This record gives sequence, C-alpha cells and structure tokens, in this order.
Amino acid sequence: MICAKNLSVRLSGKLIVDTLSLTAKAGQVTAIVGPNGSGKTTTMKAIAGEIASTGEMTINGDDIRKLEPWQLATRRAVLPQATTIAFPFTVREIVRMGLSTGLNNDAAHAQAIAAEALAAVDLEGFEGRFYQELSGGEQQRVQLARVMTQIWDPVLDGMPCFLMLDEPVSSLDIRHQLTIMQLAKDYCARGGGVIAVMHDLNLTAMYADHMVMMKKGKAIAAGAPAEVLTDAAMEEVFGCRMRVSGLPAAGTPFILPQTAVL
Amino acid sequence: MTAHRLRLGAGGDRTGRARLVIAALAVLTLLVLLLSTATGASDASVVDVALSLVSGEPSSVLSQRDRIIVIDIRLPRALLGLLIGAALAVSGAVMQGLFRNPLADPGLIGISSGAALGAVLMIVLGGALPAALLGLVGPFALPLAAFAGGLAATLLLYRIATLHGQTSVATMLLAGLAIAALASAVTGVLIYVADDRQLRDVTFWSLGSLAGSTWPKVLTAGPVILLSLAVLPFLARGLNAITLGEATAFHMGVKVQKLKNIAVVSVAAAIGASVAVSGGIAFVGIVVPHILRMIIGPDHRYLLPAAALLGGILLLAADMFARTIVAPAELPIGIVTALAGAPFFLWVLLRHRASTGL
Repeated sequence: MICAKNLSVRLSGKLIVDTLSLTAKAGQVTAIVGPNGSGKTTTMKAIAGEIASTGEMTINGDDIRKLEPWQLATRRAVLPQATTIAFPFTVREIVRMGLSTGLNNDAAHAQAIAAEALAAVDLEGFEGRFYQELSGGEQQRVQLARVMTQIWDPVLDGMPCFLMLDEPVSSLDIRHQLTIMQLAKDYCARGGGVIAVMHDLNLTAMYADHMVMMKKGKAIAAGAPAEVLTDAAMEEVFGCRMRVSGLPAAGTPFILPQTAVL
Repeated sequence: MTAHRLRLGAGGDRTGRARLVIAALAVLTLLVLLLSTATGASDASVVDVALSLVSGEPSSVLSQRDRIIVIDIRLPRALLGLLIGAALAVSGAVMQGLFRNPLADPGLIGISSGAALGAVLMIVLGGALPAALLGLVGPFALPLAAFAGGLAATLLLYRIATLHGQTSVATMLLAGLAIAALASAVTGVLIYVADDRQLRDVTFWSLGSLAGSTWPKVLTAGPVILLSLAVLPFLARGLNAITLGEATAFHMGVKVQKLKNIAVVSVAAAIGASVAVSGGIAFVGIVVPHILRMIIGPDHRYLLPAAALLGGILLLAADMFARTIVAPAELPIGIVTALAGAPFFLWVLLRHRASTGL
C-alpha cells in the first residue's frame, strides 16, 4: 500500500500540492485526475521520492524518504510523460536497462522478461529497431515495457510492487489505450498496484478501482469512479457543465471505449 | 542517422559486436605502440634495442644511442600519447553521457581552458606558495593546479547549464564558450605579468605537444589518469540510466548526485593531468565516442573501454604523423587533431541540427 498524508509540495515558492492525502492499495488501479496544472504530475513525483515534499509518505509501511534509491527501485517503477534520448539505443537496449537494478543477474532470464514485456505492450519483434525512429506512441510503449521489467513480479518477498504511470495512454491510439489499461489491470490482478495520472475520464471510469480528483493542488474528491464522477464534480473541478452518462443528440456519433470487445 | 544504416545483429543485441571491437582495438593499440617506438626522425631500430635488452649489455656505441632514443625518448612519449588519448576520449564520452548530449567535449565546453588556467597560475604564481607546500606536492604541483582549474570550470558549467535536473544544450555550449573565453583572458593577464623565465615555461607548455615526454612525466600524469579511468567503468550502468533523464535514473535506483560528483571529479582529474602534460588537445573527446556509438552503440559498459583504446590509438597516430611529416621538425599535435577533428565536428553538428535545435 502507498499512503500519503497531508502531502505538500512547493516549487519555486508556489504551493503546487496542498495537504493532499491519498491511498493506493495493492490489487487496485488508483487514478489521479484533474485539469491541467492541478498538481497531478507533481503529486506523482513526490510519491516517487523524486522531489522534496512535506507530510507523511509510506510504501508498504516504510517511509519513502528514508529508503535508498535502489530499495525504492525494487518496490515501485515510474513511467514519465515523455522520454527523449540523445543517443542511438535500440529498443532491446532500452528495455534491458529496466533489468539492471541488480535483481536480475541471470542473462537468459532477463532476455526472456524483456521479450515478454515487449510482447505485452504489443511491440513484439521491435527489439532491433532504433528508439529514435519510433513514433511517439511506440516510444511510450517501449518505456512502459522498460518500467514493467523493473518490477516484473508484482509481488516481491510477500510485498506488493507499484507501477506509477504518468499519463500512460496520452500518445496512444484507442486500441493501444485499451491494451495498456488492461495490462495495468492485470498487474493489479496478480497482486501489484498501479497509480496512474489520467486525462481520459471514460478509461478512468472503466479501469480505475479508486480515483482522486484534484483541483489547485487539493484533493476535491476521492472514491470509486461511480461516486466521484458526478455532474457537480465536473462543473466544480473542470469548469465544464456536462452530464455524466448523458447521451448526445440523436444522429451525432460518439464512441465509448466501454463498448470495445477485446 | 548513419548509425541506423549499420546492420544490426539479431534482436538489437550489440554486445557481441562490442566485445569483438574492444578485442580488435586492444590488439591495434599494441601494434600502434610498437610502430610508434619504431618510427621517428632517427633510424634507431627497435629490433636492435630489444636484442640488446635481452642480451643485457649494449653491444656497441650505436646500439647504446639507439637504446636511449627508443627507451628514454620514444617509449615514454608513446605511453603518454596512449594515456592522454584515452583520458580525452573517455572524458568526452562521460561528459556527453552526463549532459545527455553528443556535443559535450571537455575541450569545447571550457574544461580544458579551466585546466590550462590552473596550470598557468601554478607556473606564474606558484613561486609565491610556501616552499614547504611546494616540497610536499613536488612534481604533482602542475597536474594538481590543472585538476583544480578543470574541476572549477566543470562545476561552474554544470551549475549554470542545469536547472531542475535538466541540462540545456544551448546554455551549456554558450556558457562553455564564455568560461573558455574568461579562462583564456585570465591566462592572458597572467602571461602579461609573467617574468621571462615563467613566460618561457608557459610558452613551452602551451605548445600542446607530446615532444617533452619524459619518464618523470609518465610517472606523475600516468597514475592520475589511470586512477580516474579505473573509476569510470563503475559508473557505466548509471550513465546508461542517465541517458533516459536524471529523474528516470533515480527511479531506476541510481544515486544520481553521487554519480555526477564522482564523474565530474574523475573527468577533471583526467583532463587536468592531460592538460598539465600536453596542453589542450581538441576534438579527440568528441570524435572518438561518436564513431564508437555508431559501431557498437551507446552502452557505456562497452563505450568507455572502447573509447579509451581508440582515443589512445588516434592520438598516437596523430603524434606519429606530427613528428614524421615535417621531420626532423615537428607539428604541434593539437594542429593535427584540429585539422582532422574540426571538419568531423561540423559534420556531427549538421547531422544533429534538427534534434539539437541550435
């Protein structure tokens, strides 16, 4: 379980995250939603241990700030929004980097995991391609494969591991959005946990077990999507008058990911 | 990219090729070392010297002379060439990994100028230091001063160019230019106030050549360079992670700040020791890693040892060229590396024009 209590982050004197509390349980997809600039990514960075923050923060009961980087790396892996690389690495070399945390010293085993991870993100056979030549969506999936190899087993020594994904489907087409969200769901089903910053509210409603809605650094609402996603919340947080589960006028096409047959 | 046109082995795995290239470079290093001790303005024969060494005593006056030429002149020069070439190339590769940019070269971004300023400071003002202190550091005074100068320049550059863990390329190159110009200006002021003897020392030193190579120089610069080169392979995995970004490297379990500190100090030490011996030699640090990344890929576990070998080979080859092309006179080696390296650098810039946004 990842637990944050009264978490606050100041960047250049400005309060970006304001006494936010959040709980992410193993076996659940926890989504963080909110408008641009509401502090979602900063919250994720704080929980990842990457930036200075105040308040309580634990992973499986241990203070996140007191763990060494290598200890954190065995318990949680982080997918950033975008990763640019200046050097000509192959896809295989990038994914293998996720396996360099010291837990996977068996080369044959590491090789098998790297191949499995690429297959999981629907990039089978991409090992020999150059990262810089891939499209934005393909690059994002390569990074996700690398992140997953870092904590490939969702449960380590009886403790759950956590995937922290910052807008994991932002560059993806609709089919791959579903593939990746299903992958996150499966990771939870096998005993791990997922925290994801999300923009797509339909996908959130579909895949999140628990969600936190943020506005101006504060958690406005938290709970199951059915409780949090209300007409009132949409107007208060996003400043947008709209109806949850409302249908458009007859004749206007609309496509919901919920209707996909996988 | 040219790199993309090179055929890749099955599944993007270049470790086998990298090992092969490193083995070939190691053999080539030995060959170049032999060739370098065998060629020169004099007709001294390595074979004769080797025979006389094996038999114990020099068989004639002629082979006594040859022995001095080969053992006391050519051999230390060749060894220093290998060491300095290795230091320049590995430092380049490490700085490029740290700055996440293939254009970071100690010679370009002011580290060498900082080291040069440190060295000139020691030559001109070193006499004012307490004799006890000078006696303590002895022959290491010049390399130490160059190291301090290089370290100061590197730290200053890093502070200026990096904000929130992101290094701006444009800021880095421009700040490097400014630091280099500032260091050169202060060096100029020092030369202005220097007396005749100091001026001679500075001029002789700044010619940037391996010509003054002696065993004492090998023994002062050698250990510093070898020690800093020995540290850097341990940073390889961390440097690989940093190519994905400093935050990502931290996520992957790397102690980023500690790694940066070790890398910067090691590079400053290697560059400082090199500059103290040979002056600034440009472009080896940018050309060698770039060529190797195209052949074996950017994985620092293989890139760093390969860069050490290829850097040594290229610098030694440049030195052979410099001292034979106008024999018995010599070209400064810096001219040779700049003649070959500057066009190459321009080519790299052109290729990266789109991605660097400069």
